[in-house]
Amino acid sequence: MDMFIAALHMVIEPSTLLTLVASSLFGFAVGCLPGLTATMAVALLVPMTFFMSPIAAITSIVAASAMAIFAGDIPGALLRMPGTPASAAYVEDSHILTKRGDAGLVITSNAAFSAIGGIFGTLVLIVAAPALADFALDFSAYEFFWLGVLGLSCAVFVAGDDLVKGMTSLMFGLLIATVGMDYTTGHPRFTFGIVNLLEGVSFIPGLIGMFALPEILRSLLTPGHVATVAKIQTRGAWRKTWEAGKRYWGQMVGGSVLGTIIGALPGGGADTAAWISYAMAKKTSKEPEKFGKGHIEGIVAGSAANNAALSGAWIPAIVFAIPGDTITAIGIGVLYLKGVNPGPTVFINNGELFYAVFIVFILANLLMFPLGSLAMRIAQVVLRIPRDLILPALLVLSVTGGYAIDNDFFGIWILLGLGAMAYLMEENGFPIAPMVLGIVLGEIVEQNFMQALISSNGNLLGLFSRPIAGVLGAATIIIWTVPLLRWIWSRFVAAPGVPASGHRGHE
Amino acid sequence: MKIGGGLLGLLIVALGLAVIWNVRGFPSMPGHSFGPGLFPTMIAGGLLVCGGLLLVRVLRAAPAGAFSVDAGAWRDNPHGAVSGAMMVAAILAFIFLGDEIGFQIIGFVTLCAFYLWLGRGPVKALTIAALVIVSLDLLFRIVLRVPVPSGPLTGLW
Repeated sequence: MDMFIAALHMVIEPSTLLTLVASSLFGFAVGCLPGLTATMAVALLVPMTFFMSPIAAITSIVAASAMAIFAGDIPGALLRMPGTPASAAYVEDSHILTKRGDAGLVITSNAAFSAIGGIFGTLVLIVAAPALADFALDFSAYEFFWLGVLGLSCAVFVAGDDLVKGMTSLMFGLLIATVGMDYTTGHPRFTFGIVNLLEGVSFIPGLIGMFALPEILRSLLTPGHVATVAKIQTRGAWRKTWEAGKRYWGQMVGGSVLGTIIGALPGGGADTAAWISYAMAKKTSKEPEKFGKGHIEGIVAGSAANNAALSGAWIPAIVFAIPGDTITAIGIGVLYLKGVNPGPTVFINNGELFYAVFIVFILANLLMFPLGSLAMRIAQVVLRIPRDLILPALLVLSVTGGYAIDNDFFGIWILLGLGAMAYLMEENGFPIAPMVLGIVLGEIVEQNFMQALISSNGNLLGLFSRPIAGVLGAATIIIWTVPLLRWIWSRFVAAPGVPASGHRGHE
Repeated sequence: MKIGGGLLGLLIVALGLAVIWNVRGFPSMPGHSFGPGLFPTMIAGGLLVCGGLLLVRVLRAAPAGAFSVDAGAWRDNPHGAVSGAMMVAAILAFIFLGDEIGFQIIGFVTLCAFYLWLGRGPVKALTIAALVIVSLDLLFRIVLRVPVPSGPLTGLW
């Protein structure tokens, strides 16, 4: 209880509350603009978190991402252009309902069910994280190594439909993480004599580059138009939302649960959560034929799911330092930056801080209710701002942010290099998320791997010598061998002679 | 810019080989047969496998353009291509001229250039660019206290 009161004191600091509101509005504006993602909103905020207290820094990330994911629903409804990929699953329903004059219902539903999903995920986080942390207190390098590998494996499998490209992306990330002085001997690796690289590739300029530059470039390549936004009828919207909630409470709960679970899986993320929940809602619905034709049921499930996923992703991030998605990957970077090392001991060393974070989660989600009504008015202004006015400003903001982290021009080089790499990768069908997780987790995975190898005298089987490590290791091996076995089955057993591809999907 | 699958495979294999070549001279840890080169070698192995699979995929299906680069999207969109080039030029200007000219002036010129190129009138371009730069400067230099290189403007406000 003392801890809770101390945490509450941290949250009600005027600077924290101001950060909460300001970051929410920023996240709202970025999420609202089609083509700009929640991850980009967070990446652009990071240079500013550098100068904040730890609680304000995390507050800004939590608030901006939660609001951006909700705000992404609004242009989906009004313009049939999802503001963030997480809103793409139910954009058809949203837009058709809007054309029928029900924009008010759609947007208040987005706000309400996003908030409910987010709060549900937070409650799971509050219950699960300390319990898991307690359980993980005995973990050693062996367990953490396997947890890291398991996390990275999930990231590859969830990231896209092309396994080979996902894995390549992961290898790029891991390779980037090895740049700099080696953990065991201090030997410089892949620095090519550049002093700035001895400490490794600075993560935050890289993130801004990977998430902001490709999006700015793509938006510049397709000249924007000023959206004509219809006036939205808001009367009776909340009453209708209440009725939708009462009628489809099962989908609301289902979306929240599924979203939290998918969010907690490394590589899952809000967009996967929304797609899967929407599909699940359709499957379990009494009226599946109405889906995609302007039906609120899927919106209830999807809105709840993508915000629940945001909260769920923080469970492995806080307890194991394994990010569930790109937003928590940035979050972990910020935590390290602030000297707060995530891991099983966070509740012992920084208990107050994390209870404060949980309170912020709840507040950020509650803020969606008042913003839900305001949202329609703000959105009408934001969506009328031509994109070509915003993009160059975002470019200057990104470059300044890339410089500000270390007050070093080398940060801008990293921004440009990784930004160009991310653009080329995405153009050629390589998912970015595994690379980001590889960069974040590479160092941790390698350190634990080397530690485990040293203590087992170089015996690889030693990695399985502890019971939990053995289970985690076996799980990782199963994850990797199942697709292989499936491929062998399809190639040699099921249909001999028919050429099959060794990957999911195709180029 | 689309790079053919075969070419991608070759590039990835080459990267894997380059890593293996590079770590060859890394020392071992005292008393152990492995050292700083072990983890990068494992990553290189992964790259070789991935690059190899991409190559196998191409050799089986033999799609057209597997070993070439298609910049068609850029060629057919000269306006967009110039925007992209301007973006890179602006970033390089920040890197190479940032210290002497200052971020504010480079930022202002960048914004004006983009706004004019994207079809805004000169008055509007100058006004909006000035407004954006002043707000960004307030945010970074005044609120966040980042020592933004200001060139000749240093100490002016």
